[in-house]
Amino acid sequence: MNNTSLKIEELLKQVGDTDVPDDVMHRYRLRRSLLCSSYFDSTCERNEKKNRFIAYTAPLFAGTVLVVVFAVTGTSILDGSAVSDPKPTIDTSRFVSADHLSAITFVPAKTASYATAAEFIDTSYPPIPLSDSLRFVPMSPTVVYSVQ
Amino acid sequence: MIDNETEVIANAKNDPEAFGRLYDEYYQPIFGFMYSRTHNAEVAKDLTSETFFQALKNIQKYKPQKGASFKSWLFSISVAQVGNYFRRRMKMFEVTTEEAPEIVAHEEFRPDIAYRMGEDAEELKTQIELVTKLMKQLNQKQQDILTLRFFSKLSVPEIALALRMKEGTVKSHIHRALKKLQSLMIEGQTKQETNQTFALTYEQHVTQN
Repeated sequence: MNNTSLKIEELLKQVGDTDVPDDVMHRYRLRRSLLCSSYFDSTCERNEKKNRFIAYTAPLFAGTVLVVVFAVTGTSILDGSAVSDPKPTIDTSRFVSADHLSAITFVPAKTASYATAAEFIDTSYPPIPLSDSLRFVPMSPTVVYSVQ
Repeated sequence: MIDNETEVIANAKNDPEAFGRLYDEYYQPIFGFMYSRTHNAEVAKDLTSETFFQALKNIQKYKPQKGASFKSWLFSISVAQVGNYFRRRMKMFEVTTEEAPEIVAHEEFRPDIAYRMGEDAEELKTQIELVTKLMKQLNQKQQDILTLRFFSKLSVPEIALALRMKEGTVKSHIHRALKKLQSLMIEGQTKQETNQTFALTYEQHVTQN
């Protein structure tokens, strides 16, 4: 069984080894038509356009950017605004609107009348003698014991 | 395989000369596959042309991957072309080689092979003819796989890549196809032997009378 399958494989290999007819004319014609096909024309054209775009547009763009930068810097130096102070910011929350102003009533200021000093003396409390509040507080306990 | 093939493929996308190198390398294997599948040189030429035009059209999409060769990619296009051809042919009127044997010449026989296999030249010729004939009784997928394996000499991983199958599936397809071919061969040989015996008996009968 295995021998037969091997034989078949061998037979198939031998069939595969047989010379395939080679048509040189067909080979040449096909090669020519492939290499001269419009596919390569279009890709060549596309590449040429791409290269042209890169070759011309990129330096042109870079040059334009440089010119613009120089122009802006030059004008700002001439105006003196190149080194400008920062503008003061206005805090609008501190603003008082006109409506608030109308609601406020202005009262004329009163000048204070100074009364006599006797008005400020409270006579309901008896006068405290200063000597009662003064006591001797010993600094060291040893001294206290020695006194006792 | 071409040296630095990856570079050549990358250049072939824009450079006709690089594509020409790929064409020179793979024309014969592709044509051989087409011829083995169709057994018709003119059809094989057409299908080869179509394969290379498709390859040129789609080469921008080809991305070299690890283990996936350009050869497998090209053969996958060829297999698709063969499939299209057989689908188209099914709708057409078909003239078989049995009906018109002069259309296809039997060029498979080589006496040197008979010498190498140590068999009778005549017997081997019969067997080769029988195998070629019986191959057509296999389904299209089996025919594709056997042709790629034994005629185009592709490895199992290369066939798997070309047909977008797993290697195990390809192996089982090969095994099943060989088994079927073997049983068909035995049937065919038995039929031939019966026919020969019948012919001999008939001849003897005629000479006796």
